[in-house]
Amino acid sequence: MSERKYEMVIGLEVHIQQNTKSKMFCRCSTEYFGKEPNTHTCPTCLGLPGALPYPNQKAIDNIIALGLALDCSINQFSKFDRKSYMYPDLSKGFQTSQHELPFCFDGKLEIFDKKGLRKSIRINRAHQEEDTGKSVHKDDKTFLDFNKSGMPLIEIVTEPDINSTQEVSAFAKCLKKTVEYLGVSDANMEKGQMRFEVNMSLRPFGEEALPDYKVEVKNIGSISVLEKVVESEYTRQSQILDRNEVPVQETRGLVNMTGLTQSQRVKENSADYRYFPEPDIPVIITSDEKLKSIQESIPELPYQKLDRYTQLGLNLEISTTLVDDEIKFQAFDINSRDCDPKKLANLIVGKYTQVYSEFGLSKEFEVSELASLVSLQTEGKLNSDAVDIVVENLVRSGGKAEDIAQENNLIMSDNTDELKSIIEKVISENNKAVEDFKSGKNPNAVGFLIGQVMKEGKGRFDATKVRETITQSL
Amino acid sequence: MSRKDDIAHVAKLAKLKLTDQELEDFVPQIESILDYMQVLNELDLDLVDFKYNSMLNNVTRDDEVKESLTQEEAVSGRVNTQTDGAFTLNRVVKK
Amino acid sequence: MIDVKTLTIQEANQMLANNEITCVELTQACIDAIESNESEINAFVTTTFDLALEKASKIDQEIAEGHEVTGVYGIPYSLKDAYVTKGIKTTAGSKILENYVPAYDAAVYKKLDEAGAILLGKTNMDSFGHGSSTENSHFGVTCNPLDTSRVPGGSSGGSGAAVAYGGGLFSIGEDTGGSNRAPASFCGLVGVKPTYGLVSRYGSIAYASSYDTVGPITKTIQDATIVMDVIAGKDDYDATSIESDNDYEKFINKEDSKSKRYKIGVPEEFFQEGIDPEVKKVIEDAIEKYRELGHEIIDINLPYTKYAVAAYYVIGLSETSSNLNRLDGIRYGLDVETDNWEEKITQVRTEGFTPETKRRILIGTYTLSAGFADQYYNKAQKVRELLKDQFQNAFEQVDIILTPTMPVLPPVIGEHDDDPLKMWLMDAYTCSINPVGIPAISLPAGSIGDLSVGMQLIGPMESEKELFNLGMQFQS
Repeated sequence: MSERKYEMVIGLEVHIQQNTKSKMFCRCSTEYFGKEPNTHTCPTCLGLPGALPYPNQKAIDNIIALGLALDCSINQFSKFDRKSYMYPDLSKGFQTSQHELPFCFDGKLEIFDKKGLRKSIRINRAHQEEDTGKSVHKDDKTFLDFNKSGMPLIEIVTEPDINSTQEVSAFAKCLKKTVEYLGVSDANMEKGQMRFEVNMSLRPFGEEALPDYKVEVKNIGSISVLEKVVESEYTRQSQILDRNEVPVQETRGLVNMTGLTQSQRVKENSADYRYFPEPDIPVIITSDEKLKSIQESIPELPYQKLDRYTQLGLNLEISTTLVDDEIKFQAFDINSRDCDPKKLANLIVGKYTQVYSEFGLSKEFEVSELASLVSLQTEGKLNSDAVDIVVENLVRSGGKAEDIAQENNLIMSDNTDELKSIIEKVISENNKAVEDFKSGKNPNAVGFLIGQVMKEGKGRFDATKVRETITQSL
Repeated sequence: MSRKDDIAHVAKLAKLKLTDQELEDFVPQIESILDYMQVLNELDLDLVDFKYNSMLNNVTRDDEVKESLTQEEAVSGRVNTQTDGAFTLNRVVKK
Repeated sequence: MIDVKTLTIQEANQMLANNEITCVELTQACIDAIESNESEINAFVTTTFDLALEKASKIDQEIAEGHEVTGVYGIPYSLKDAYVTKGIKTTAGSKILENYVPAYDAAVYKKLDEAGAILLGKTNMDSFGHGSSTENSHFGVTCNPLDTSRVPGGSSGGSGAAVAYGGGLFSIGEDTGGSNRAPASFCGLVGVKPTYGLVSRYGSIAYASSYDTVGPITKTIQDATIVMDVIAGKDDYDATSIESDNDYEKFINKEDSKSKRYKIGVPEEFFQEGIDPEVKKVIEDAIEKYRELGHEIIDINLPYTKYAVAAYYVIGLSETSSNLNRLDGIRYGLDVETDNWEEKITQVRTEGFTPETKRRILIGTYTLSAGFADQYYNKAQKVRELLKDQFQNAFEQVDIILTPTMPVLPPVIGEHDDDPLKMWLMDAYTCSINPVGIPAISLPAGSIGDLSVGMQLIGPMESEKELFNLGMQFQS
């Protein structure tokens, strides 16, 4: 990539669908994905006359947990507000959201990646709202399905602290990881559970002030498209700036998945949302005790894990690989105190991952056996091939690492008598090689003989000891 | 902007189409009502705190699922303008 | 011959229990009253006679099998057309919902239905509650049975008129700024505006969410307590609903209650300009009667009354403009064929709302919109806080406040057509109560010729028992 002339100034709005069992303000099931239209609706989420909202406490606990994980301040006196606009997929003609007193404000997300990026991105606010219904356009018709209407949705708004495509990508991935760690969302992009809105402008490097324009791009459904949007906007905006012009402040829509955008005619008046407190929902007061109990439920966060791993001496590549995947970091965290962490990490990102990816984890598999296995390796009782064999057995059918090693005769042996008898057998079966070596015709023949002995001994004998013993015998 | 413009503007927000005649009729009526409401300006309200009107707080429910309406019930208000259980409109986004 | 025009729930209970009448006979008597009065009065938008008779005969069978006759069991009644009823057309008095058949039941309807009450039909109302006279209905004006040239009050005017002529022994109205009390006052009945949240609003088509209350219109205080015992209480589908003991009827019939004496506050501001002198006289006589009964009458001041009406309308119309957003013609209600959705929504709303509703939507949108919200909505909410303080202070001095319900006698139909503001100001004595949330009831204080004059009793939050008790003492 050529040297860039401008620095990106990016703020993100991220919508995250929560994974509660029931919707935000009604008792409809959230398991609507792939179901028939309008089969998961009720008077409330369908906006029937007379229906009222009744908020889901679990969703509120979730957003507060996320807020705390993002180091936000929490409005312990919070409320819902109505945001009015009329659109066919908005069943009530207003969205129940939060305006003045969002649950969470003034936080930050620590972002990082494999390449060593580390930065703190400020979070302006995180508030609770509800999703709209879905419109499907076909030919000259639009089909409306309200199954998604009323799904609990968290909106996170960052400060314009993001300055490159790498950072955008890292922010999105780290936020995704954070909500997954907390268990507040499955953050499945294919199901539309995490969506992005970019606010972006460019400024010359070194400039501190915010540019006097910004361009908004809505409805971005994946991290890869997000990266493409930012790149294509860079190109578009930098070309305008190069001509000494200022890009128009506007909302742009995605043309297609390549990240190209086009201007969307913004409807006049659309910005007057006429917020006012939702009279149908009493205020939410979060007590100190409640806050404390939510705080205590928060697990170690991705960046905290990363820091711990690197302090244990793992390199960035392996550390981020572990942090990225729950199966891997769980296997690591359960065992890392009981064996050599570096060997453990190598085993987990290597053969262990290969085996479970191919065969899955057996119900009988005890993850704590990985520590025993690494210890056997560290004590010199298993060589690396043997470790691989044991891992495969463990993952596919359970059992104890040591038992598997024993049953398969994989434990390294220091039994000199056994070694000698194997050497005698190899010598007697390989007269030519023995002769070649003894006559000096081929000094390398001893290598062949050592190989034969290792093979016969299933690798259980230490290679140095084999060399010594065979040289003596010859 | 004049009151007439303001009222035309909010009519758009409220998705109401007013004929010129209606606008003529409404403007003085609404104007007199809005003027009447100005009586509130007589009060010094700087020290009055308002955040939310309710004596209740924390009225929430557990995260439990109850039965939804059937699809037939959900679209029962649109027998003629639904297709396979989806409400149907002439196209929202113009091609 | 059953005289349903005067028959109370209490009397009907005894007659049913003693097998003096059957439930079918009672129901038929109400149906007859409706059929003979409707052409003149127009209290009902929809009637459900077949369902009513079917249920009545089932109830007769149950009574024969020994079912206890109590509360509203076997009692024919009507429901304001603001309450959704599954399978029964619900219009809210509007064109936009002219043919709307709901897919679910309002909480209050469900409770009454399960308690054995018999629904005769849905009553006429000012469209979406927007009015004090029931002249603003898509289904025509309802006339006052006491004088058919006059309005019955509103917005629950159909409910008031129906009870007054015997089209059911009670009705469930909905009171946002006086919608139960005004018809009660104008039709010579008891109207209840309960404490905000005491009766679930689930399924009540909203006017102003933070004011709306659900309550009965009945002939007597005793009947009102019987209905409240059935409908009050916390509901899992209304987050603003509150718990209730539901022993109103028991309370007012206790000997202790009958001998209880109250400090009654009479606010100066409710007897000044704008009040009809004849109305004033009737109320003063009622106050005198209370004094004679041994109650202490105390003059009080409610200095913010002047601001209450303005604050009431600003908040109420802001909320109604938002509540009516869902009426977009997409999922239900009036349907039109247009090229695109925006035109469709606009056309449906433009055709479907009455001019009064449009006026209220426009004002409410205005008072919430950017640049004006601070001047109107936010200010009005602050005034609302002052109104709460004002009543709280008053209730430190007195137990109950007594006022006229309406400052005037029922207007002649069409009287205020050209001056909406004058019509709005008719609500001044009732609408200042709703922003505060406290309960108020209206009961007949006396009459002027054929017309009735109502008095309003106002108490602190959840003081319904005391209001009913004081009202009952007047009626005994």
